[in-house]
Amino acid sequence: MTCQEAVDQLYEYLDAQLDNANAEQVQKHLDLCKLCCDHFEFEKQMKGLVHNSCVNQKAPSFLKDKILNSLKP
Amino acid sequence: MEPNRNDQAKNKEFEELFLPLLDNLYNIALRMTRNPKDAEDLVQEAFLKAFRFFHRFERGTNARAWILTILTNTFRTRYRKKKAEPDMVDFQAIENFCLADELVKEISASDKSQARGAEAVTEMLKDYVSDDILKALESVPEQFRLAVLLSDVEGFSYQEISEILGISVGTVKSRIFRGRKILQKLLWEFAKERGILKGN
Ligand SMILES: [Zn+2]
Repeated sequence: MTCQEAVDQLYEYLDAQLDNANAEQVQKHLDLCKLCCDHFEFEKQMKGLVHNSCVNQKAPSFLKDKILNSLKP
Repeated sequence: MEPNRNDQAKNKEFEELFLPLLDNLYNIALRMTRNPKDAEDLVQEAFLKAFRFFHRFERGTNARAWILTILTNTFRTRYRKKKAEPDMVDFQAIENFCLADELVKEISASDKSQARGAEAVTEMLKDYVSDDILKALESVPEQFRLAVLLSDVEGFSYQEISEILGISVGTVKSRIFRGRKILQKLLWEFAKERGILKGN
């Protein structure tokens, strides 16, 4: 697998969307190629950053009450 | 009139399935609407609709995907036009943008002795705080933002996202890819503006 082929599938690999055979090939390339491996680590971190910045808000408590009230039969 | 036993059981089941998702939905709604008031309204409306159509929910299927589909559709029909969306991005310019490469370049330009690729880039990424990421996300056009959120925040597969957004898996793929590139480009611009990057 060339670097270009690995990079083309990097996001799908990151998102666990490749089938086993393809994922294995990308994995093999990443094991051997420092450049692509660094690139992958970077994309993985970016995904983690987006995730972490979007999970830390608590819904206001009045919202829960409002919803519960509106569900009352 | 006293609520009958069926109604009570239905309410209990609904609450057990969906109330634990409240914070989750609120976070996503915040990122969709980009303001707390609309996020609250959106979440409440999604809950009400979910409750009204609860009989259509197939037991044993993914409750989070189901209510997120409702939330997304509600957002798209009701709230999308309230706050002006950022202009469409010039795709040619972003298609090949890679923040990692830019950061590496920056590092080697500012301090040759410390140019160590991945570790140095990792260090620089730490300079981005949550607020930067959120501000950048807000500026990613909606269609791309939704796809990225559903993948990165919710962890849905491309197939699940395609069902939630009602678009093909190929379109999901390209929206996620482009969304991430746009996000990286925006973060890069912030970094330059705010002088996060030392040495320029
Ligand atoms: Zn490579």
